[in-house]
Amino acid sequence: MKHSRFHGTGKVFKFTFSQMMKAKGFRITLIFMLLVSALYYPISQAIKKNGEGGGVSEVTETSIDTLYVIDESGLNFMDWFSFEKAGLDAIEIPTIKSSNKTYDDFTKELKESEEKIALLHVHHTAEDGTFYYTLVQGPKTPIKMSDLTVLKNAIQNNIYAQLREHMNITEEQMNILNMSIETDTNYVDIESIGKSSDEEDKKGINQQQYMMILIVIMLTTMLVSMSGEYISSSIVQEKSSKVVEFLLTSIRPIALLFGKIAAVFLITLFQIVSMIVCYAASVVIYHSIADGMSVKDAFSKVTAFIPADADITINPIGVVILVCFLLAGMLFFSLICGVIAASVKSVEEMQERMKSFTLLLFLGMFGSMIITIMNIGGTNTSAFEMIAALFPVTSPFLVPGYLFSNRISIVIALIGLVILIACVYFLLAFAARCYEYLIYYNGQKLSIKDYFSIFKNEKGGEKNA
Amino acid sequence: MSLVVTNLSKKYGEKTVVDHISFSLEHPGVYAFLGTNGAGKSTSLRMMLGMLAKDSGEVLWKGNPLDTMETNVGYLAEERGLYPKYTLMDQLLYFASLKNVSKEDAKNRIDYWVDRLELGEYFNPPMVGKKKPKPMKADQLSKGNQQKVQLLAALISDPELLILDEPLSGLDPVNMDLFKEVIREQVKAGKYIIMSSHQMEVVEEFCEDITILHHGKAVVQGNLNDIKKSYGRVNMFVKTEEPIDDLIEASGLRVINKTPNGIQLKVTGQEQADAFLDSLVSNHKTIVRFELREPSLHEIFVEKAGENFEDEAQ
Repeated sequence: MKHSRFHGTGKVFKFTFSQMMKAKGFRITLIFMLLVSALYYPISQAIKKNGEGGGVSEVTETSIDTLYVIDESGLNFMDWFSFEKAGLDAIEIPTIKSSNKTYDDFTKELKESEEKIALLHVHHTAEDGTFYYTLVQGPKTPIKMSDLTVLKNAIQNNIYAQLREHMNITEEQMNILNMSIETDTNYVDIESIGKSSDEEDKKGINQQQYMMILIVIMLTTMLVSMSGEYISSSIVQEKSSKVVEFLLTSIRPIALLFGKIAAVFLITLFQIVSMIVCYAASVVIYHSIADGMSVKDAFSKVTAFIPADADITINPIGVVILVCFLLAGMLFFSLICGVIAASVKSVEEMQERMKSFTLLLFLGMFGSMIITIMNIGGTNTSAFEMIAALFPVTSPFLVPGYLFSNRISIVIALIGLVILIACVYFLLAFAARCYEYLIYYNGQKLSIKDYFSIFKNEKGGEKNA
Repeated sequence: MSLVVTNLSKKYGEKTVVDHISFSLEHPGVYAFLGTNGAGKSTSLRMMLGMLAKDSGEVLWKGNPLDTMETNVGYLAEERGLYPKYTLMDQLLYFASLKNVSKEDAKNRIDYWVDRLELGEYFNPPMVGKKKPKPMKADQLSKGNQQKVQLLAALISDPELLILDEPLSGLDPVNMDLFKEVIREQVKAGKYIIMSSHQMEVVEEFCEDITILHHGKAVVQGNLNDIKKSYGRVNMFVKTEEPIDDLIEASGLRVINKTPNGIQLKVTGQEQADAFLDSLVSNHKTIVRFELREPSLHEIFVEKAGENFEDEAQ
């Protein structure tokens, strides 16, 4: 049976993967990255608590002696004097009193007082329909502002707990009640989706969406640059050490290239997944130990950075599209790297020749970031978004994050993916031809025109002399 | 016939680097490819192996186009290469797997060849105290030992056809003898070997059939003995106790080389040689040595491939 052009890809994959895993440099980098992922959350929490004045346990030491409550809200069912309902027993305030004074009178007294007293002012404004819970302290009191911050959070949780109890609803139902409701009109065709995006763009990107888009851009950049760098250095090393000539008696060049790309993709994915797992584990362990939470509750904190009202949707379709974009994007950039690296004769030359790859990488990454930053300011960038979502150099960086953030529709994401896959297919055919010729090439730097002439002539063109 | 190469050609722009080369290997043995640097030897071998596209020609192995993916071919490239930072065992097992050799067979063959090529101390380094030594990497080996590992890689699949591009260059005399023994063993085992070389005396030791390439063209081709016979016994070597310059001049002989050990002359054939011997005897010259022989391969090569080779050989 005749072997296909891709015969041996699996063996190259296995060898490349095992050698990368064995490499000392890789192991040291991986350990470092895992340590950073594992320590980031506990350290940031510790810093945060220090910044807030040492956390809940320290509130007792500098605690507020008396908290006065002036309730002008009309919410008669609220019990301001018990924090047990919110599970906040750790906050010890010896006395909580209701005050009959007006807010203005009380604040005048507070200005002169040197005691450890504070005021909780609850009121309601008819204009915007909002209840305000304001904590006030005097200028001469020894109470720290950080104590009030802790108390503020405790009061908010207490209010929600009591509201839930009063309405006899669960926390989930409470969250649903708190969700904002918007209405919109739309058509199920491509043109109208563009129009719909226009309307949404005017709102700009919120902070959580920005973070989500940034994370996806960084993830893609990491994957593309790490794999591109490895592919190119591996090809140049094989070429400069002359191993490639021996290998080519057993395997086609394109199978060699593909085996490497597959191994690099898996290893990069392994690094990223390991980092995420390490981060998640550190969050779970931290909350289990520090707050005594159950594993399930602690696990919910892993995604706690995405608030319910952030307008971010992470669903299985989005995740599949993300993985497809990562895979296709990595293939796209790795094939470019492979062809460029094959035209290089020594490791020293590589840096110079890889400039075009770096340029494309920057175009993809910074292009996506600039569009996103413009969006934060509320600039209407829907035309740029559309171009970037369909352009194969930018789409792997931009589309998944924008899809999660509900900035573009699934249809646009899928069109972008189809264009990217079509480009990968063309590049594959291009690389298959050029790579076989270039692997023996030891000449001058090639222009784009040269590459196309090689593509037409297949292996063994004039430049090889 | 097992290997038939017909009209193999390659051009780079206007420059023809291989010009319609044809030859065949009819039975197991060593076929030599000779030529100066840039004569087109490596390009021809690469085209035969399918690594470079040929402009024209055909390479048949047992009646079918030679495809190294389908045929068990061993190759020792002119430009040697191993992964410098990977262990020797890892890369040999990888090369074997690419040749579809099972891991068990590969390990057995590596053990055999490590022993045969005297590489034991690099594959199984001795214990340092109680510490187990780390496996050796290619860049820890000398150039000669790396060459041995590469020969091992070429032989690991037990190939039917072995292509060796300058296998003996850069080896010390001891390792050169070792390589020669291995090549002889392969011939005995019925392997077909194509070898390119600069070392004419080595080629004369092994090869029955040769092709001498010059600027991409086959200038001499065929059975080595037949080629030599075709030149006839035209090389004469004479050493006498007295000077014989006047006799040489009188006989109209061409001096090829003159050293304290004797004079090398070119004759037209047996009759001219006999006449010169008669003149030496009749002039009472004391003859220390008188030899009439066919030209050596070196002499044929220099004649056909030009003076460039003399410079390179030095």
